Amino acid sequence: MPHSRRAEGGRATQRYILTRLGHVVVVVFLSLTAVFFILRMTGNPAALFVPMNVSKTSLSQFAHEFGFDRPLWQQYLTFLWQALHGNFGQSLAYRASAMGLVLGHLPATAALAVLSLALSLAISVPLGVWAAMRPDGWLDNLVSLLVIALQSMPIFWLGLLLILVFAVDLRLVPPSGREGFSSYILPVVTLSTYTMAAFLRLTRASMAEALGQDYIRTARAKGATPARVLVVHALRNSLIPLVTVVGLNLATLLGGAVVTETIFSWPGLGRLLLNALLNRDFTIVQAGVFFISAVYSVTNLAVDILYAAIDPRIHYT
Amino acid sequence: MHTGRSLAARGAMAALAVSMLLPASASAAVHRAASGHDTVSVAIGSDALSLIPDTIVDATTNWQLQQIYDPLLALDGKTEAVIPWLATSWKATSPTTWTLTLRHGVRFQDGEPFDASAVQFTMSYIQNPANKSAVAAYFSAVKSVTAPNPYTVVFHLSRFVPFFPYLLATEFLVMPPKYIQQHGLKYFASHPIGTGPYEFVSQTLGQNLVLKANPHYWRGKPAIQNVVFDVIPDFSARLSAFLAGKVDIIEELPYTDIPVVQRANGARVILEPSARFDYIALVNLKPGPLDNVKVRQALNYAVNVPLLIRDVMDGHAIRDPGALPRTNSGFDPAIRPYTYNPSLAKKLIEEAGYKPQDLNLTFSCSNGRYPMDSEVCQAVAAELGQIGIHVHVISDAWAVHLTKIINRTAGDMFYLGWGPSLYPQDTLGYLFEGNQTYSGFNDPALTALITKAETATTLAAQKADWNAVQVKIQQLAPWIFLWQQDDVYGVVKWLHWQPRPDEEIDLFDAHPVG
Amino acid sequence: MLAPAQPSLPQAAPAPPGALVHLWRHLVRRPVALVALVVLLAAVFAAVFAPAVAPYGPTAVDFLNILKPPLTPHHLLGTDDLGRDELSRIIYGARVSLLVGGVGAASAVGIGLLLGSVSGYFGGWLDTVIMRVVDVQLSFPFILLVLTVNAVLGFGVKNIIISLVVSGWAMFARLTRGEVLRVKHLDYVTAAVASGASPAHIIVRHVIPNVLAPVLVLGTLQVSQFMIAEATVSYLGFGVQPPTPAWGNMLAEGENYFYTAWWLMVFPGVSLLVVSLAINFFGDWLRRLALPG
Repeated sequence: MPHSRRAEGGRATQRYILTRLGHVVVVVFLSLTAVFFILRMTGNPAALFVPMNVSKTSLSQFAHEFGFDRPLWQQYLTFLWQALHGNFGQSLAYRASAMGLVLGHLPATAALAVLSLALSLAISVPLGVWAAMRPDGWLDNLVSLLVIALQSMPIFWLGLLLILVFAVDLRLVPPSGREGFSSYILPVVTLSTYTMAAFLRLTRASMAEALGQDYIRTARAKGATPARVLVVHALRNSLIPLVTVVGLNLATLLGGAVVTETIFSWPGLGRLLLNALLNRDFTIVQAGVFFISAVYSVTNLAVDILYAAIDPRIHYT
Repeated sequence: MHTGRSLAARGAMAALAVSMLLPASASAAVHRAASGHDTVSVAIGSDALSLIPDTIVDATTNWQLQQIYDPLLALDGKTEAVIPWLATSWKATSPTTWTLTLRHGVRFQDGEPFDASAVQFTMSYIQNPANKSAVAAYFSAVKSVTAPNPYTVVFHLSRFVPFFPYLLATEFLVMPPKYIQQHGLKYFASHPIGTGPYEFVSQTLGQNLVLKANPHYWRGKPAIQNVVFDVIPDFSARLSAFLAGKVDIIEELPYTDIPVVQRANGARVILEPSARFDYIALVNLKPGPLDNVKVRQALNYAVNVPLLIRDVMDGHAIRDPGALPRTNSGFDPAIRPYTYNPSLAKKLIEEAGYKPQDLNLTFSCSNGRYPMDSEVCQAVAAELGQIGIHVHVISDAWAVHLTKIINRTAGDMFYLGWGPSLYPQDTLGYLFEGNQTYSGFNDPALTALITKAETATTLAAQKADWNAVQVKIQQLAPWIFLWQQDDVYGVVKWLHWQPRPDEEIDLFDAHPVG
Repeated sequence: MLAPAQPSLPQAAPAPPGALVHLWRHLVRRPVALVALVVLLAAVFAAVFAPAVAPYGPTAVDFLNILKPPLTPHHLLGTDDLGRDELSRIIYGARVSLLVGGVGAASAVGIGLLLGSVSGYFGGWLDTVIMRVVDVQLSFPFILLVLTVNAVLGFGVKNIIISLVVSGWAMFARLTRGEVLRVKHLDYVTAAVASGASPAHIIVRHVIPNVLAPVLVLGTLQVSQFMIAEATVSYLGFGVQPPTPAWGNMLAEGENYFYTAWWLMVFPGVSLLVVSLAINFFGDWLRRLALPG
């Protein structure tokens, strides 16, 4: 009976989501555990945060105040217990809540990520579609070339050259910082190149595949206008894989943000984490790892659910 | 002198950067929008990490906080001698008590009067373990602070600390007791107030710290109304921001970029010899060639320091003959530097029972912490290589380098800067008394000399003892003695501003030219 | 420029010399791939025989010739702030890049192939464990993971290879596992299982050869990704440290001469771009050859 089957389907969906949520928790827990122990492999960081000219007793006093003198397992359990309560401790360098610092640096990174994602899609989707319409036409070849060029480009170097030409020589935009619209241009362009190759290739491939499907031929035979065929039938279907890839590229984007923010002195999360790593400010790294792995896992879960919702052929297993 | 980039190269770069536009501007010109010259932006390498003073040890943080807060005593901007500040006089009333008279009529920026209770409060903040102050180590000898009257404070110490006034000048920024009791530390951390020349306006981490002039400052209202510390971590990005007219003062200008700033319109370069000095430690803590004084002396003879200053440092350093720089109050001008003499170096090594070819030394170096650090290390290795010594240079990011030194895994030699070096104890004591980490050196006879100097009770005896220590160090050659580098600043021409040897950025005396 | 994919390798491959001739014919029909291969071989040659090819040693300091621009006599690409020959440093830098890219990608592919096949073939708890680890790794930005591993292990050529392998194997494991799941049910594999062949035998003889083509193509492309990652990490100060010349740390040093010595920032980047382009064009050709469609 259709009714009971739907109820069964609903229960399967619930079970699927619960299992996946369980996976998210496991992944986040494992990430946190790994980063906790990996960071401590480098030893006690306290000496980096006291003056160079103090006695050893003062140094051990300082290490004690931050709990670095306790056995590792005790530190780990305390860390887990506090993390469970949303407390990721105090940054050694800033003396402020580590998670507060991570969240405080988030808006600058989020703005950069969203804008660069938008730019990347705005260029790669039309270009990919256009290329797919005439396979092996000049545009298609140009797009293939562009994909290879983007894959081969050391993007940090591209960023440096962009600064050299557009900020230093031509003085069209500021070379660094985050003040006003013009300061967004170079970082957004730079960061968007991290995802553009993947988006271009995927749009082109899935569009080419969609255009070869029976239903497109049927639509054409029925006399639908080429534009309608393209947009309503082919594009909509080829967008589905793109949604997934956008989700999967979140990590690429954040990685790109680390590099881009460093080059452009952008006050974001990536630079905060990079400095924390370099200066061994453990708590910030831990809070950052938690944040990134949680956001990534949840986003992917959401994408999968969305994906299944869009495409009725997919079943939860 | 080569004249910058050729047109062809510029074209190539532009092409690579997607565009074929040829850059038009021939030389950079610094000009600001007509801001009425009441705002100064300073490009700085990192944030003020905490706005609560006396908590973390970070020079860049300290420079920024000194705009908001005042210390009890201060250092003269030229001579680095201790001068009156919030305290008008200081005196050792016994070997273990220091009595200070406080200035009348000073108020915190919210109107709260400054008096002895603020000094007592600040010390109790520093010494409270709950605050985890890294500065506490400096004041471990302080037993109590008493206030016979509101404008007199007495510090009771557990031992004789001859340099105590220096600590009050460099590590003790006074905090407002009533304000903090009323609002709590958490609020204070984001709404700081002090007695200093500038009031806090806002801070965006990773971006800037904005301050405005304190109209009621006890030394008078600052000439510059607004101060912005722009956080730009990267060398070249700082320079770009300066040349683009975004900031008015930049620090740590690389030596090679001096002509670039000099060529730019509206900008000038200011050089200031730093109170920090650089040295190469020759670690003698384990048996081996560096355990032998002759080998250490030989290394000093084998390195041509004047040549390094001329060619690697572009002339921007003053050679230190011995272990103290000229800024240090205990500097002994009688000390003569080692003169470059490679054949004597070879002879000394042979006298020590080695051949130069036998020496295989590891040399740890920081990369980017001090001007030209990695380059200096490679040049020194090349010079030692000329007399046949094998030197293996390992350069690392600063935190890694420092960790290696702390863990004593930096190898046979390491490069380090130390400063500001102001009085003998802060350098010779911390670096050579006993078995010290930051020199990797231990010599019992030297330690005895230092202990004698530290416990001497008259100033004349102290002076003589510290001179003896310097002569001994010179002879022991625990380091390859190098130099005090110049700090290089780029400043807009409309601004009168003077840097300091201790690298603090003092904006109170800054004012528009003319 | 990029003509349609040619028919793939013949299924019944003739004797090896014939296959090579065939490959060669494919190559000459595609000048881009041919040029890419030549560039790549030249770079490998220069890297391997650097001491013979480079006019100077990579750390030979010369105070009399500091910051000479390109085309200076005896210094084709100019000199750096210690008077070291830029061309020589770029040639020695190729060693680091190609070593890191080649060894790193080969190891990541190897580990990924092994763990991915084991995971896909056996399934069960082993599969669950391996795939959870893969999930953890892929939930973390690649470059940040590389930076973390280097921050912990310390900086240097060996550690950067380790960090790239640690951060890069997961993708290949996931890819291999997917392919294995597909191949597992092919008739001849089930037949081999039925005939009692050992799992190791089946994995090595039947499964891996079947998944090799896509993994190898991706592995080739990964060489350039690893090279770029090494340069990025070295540029950020977490990778190969001076005085060892690597294109990334040369760029970081050159950046300080933004305004006075442009060549220090341009040549290492161009070298990286050119070799990377060569690998990607060559890899693209391989992909079209091995995975038509």
